[in-house]
Amino acid sequence: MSIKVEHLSYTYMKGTPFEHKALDDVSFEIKDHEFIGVVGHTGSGKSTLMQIISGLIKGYEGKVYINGVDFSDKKQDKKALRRLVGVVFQYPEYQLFEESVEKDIAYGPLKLGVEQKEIERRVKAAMDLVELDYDLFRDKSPFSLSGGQKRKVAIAGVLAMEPQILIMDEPIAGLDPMGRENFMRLTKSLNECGITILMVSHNMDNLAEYTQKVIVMNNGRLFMEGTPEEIFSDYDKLKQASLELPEVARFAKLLRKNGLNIPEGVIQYEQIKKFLIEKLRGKK
Amino acid sequence: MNKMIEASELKFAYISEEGNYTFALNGVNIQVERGEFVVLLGRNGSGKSTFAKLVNALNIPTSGKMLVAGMDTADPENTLEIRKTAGMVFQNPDNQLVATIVEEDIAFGPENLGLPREEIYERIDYALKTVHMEEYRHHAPHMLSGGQKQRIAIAGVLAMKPKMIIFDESTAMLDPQGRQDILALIKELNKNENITIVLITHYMEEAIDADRVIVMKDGFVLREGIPMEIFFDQGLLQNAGLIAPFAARLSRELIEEGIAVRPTLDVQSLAEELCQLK
Repeated sequence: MSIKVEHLSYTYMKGTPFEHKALDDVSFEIKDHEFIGVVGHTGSGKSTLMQIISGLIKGYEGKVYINGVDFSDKKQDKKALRRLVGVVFQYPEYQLFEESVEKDIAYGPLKLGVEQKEIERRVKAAMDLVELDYDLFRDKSPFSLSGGQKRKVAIAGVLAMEPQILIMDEPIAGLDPMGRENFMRLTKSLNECGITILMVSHNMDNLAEYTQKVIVMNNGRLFMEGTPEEIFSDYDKLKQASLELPEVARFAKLLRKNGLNIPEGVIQYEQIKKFLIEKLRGKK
Repeated sequence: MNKMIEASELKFAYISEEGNYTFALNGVNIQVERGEFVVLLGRNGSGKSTFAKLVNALNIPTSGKMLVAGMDTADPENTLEIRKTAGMVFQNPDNQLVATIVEEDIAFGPENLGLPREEIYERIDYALKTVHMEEYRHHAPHMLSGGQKQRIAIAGVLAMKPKMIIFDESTAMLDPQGRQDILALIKELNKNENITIVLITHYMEEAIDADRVIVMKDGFVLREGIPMEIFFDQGLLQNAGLIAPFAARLSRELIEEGIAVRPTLDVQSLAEELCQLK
């Protein structure tokens, strides 16, 4: 499913002394099946943007199209549309409430009126996707699980709704390094199953490894847009947005400064490792 | 008293409504000396945060002993003194800020100690200066950035004049800039204020400058050591589900490929060595 945003602006607490323009004339397009990273420092407008695309904030200026359908068009059946957009907030584990893992994941489809057999299939499939063993975890209380496991349950709950677009706001904050890797791999496999992914993250390293396109927000505006190679090679511009290069790009920059010529666009770990081995093997 | 933490055979179990015990700590022995900068690593669910809560007497051991600056946390008489001694900064500063003005927030702890007014003001000055937030004294905490909020949360803890601060993933929610700032501040507190630091984190880079790293798994201490030992022990890292920091990983993997560099945790020195090879 595609997303198109046209001239989107939004102001919090309009007409009060606390008035704050969170988004200012933002336009971009995301094609079907893309995996997009969204970055920006605290207060850059990225979370507001995600909430508008999720249909959680109204009263914005401009247009949001999901699969070509105008979100603000009153004549459209937005319920059906919204079902196709799954949202994973920061710390989704805080949303858990049921007495068992199975019931928690089944809650969404149950409320949609999905029949029991199909619910069971979806719960199993969702748990399979997030790599939680069905027989081992189904009857456990979500509250007895570790942080990483809780997050998996929360995400399985969103996946059981079978969304076509998945919007995730800092989904890997607070996960351990293995958890982060696994989560990024999981997201990639969901993307390969055809789900369009929009992921907000402060973790440039993970975005550099996994995304196809990156959007940089700064002061409520769309500041940069391009492939990870383009975005994460442009140190000066990222700096203006108070952002950092990913670790690998930072290291490549350091090597260049010390006289070793690393090609632009090297942002992934395996790339730089391979380059260094080829260039330096046998040298003393 | 030179030992800030003495945990011996420490066990802790969460008890479910049905009365089932789930052990989060299975017999942990950890000692932390006054003035140390110790980093606690381990996967989600390895027992790190449970340990932190036991230090602060938020939880009482199911069995074994936890002494903080020589005080037994199991004795309720000690609780207030322990919490003055060992401050705690959590992941989400929003959960730790209580007032609508920065200085009132910082004053909350000292006021509850019943300190005289002048002393409270002195402590606010000291705390704000130490976290480099003097100019935000009259601001509203909720209008600040994540990193700034976390600074205010730290200032609130500093106003209690603690000997030790436990940071439980206090950088997890921050953007890269905010994370760097807070880590630099933590190191300053250790060096300049001589505050003992226990830092719990999932960012391996934050452990590079630690005096000691403690690796936990399944409620046990798997290993203790200096960062160089820990991050070049591939078997340990795999067992604990950790990933080596960038320079450690790259230098090790390049050495395996026959490139003549030394193992290092320092990105700068690895870059320099590589450039001398070309």
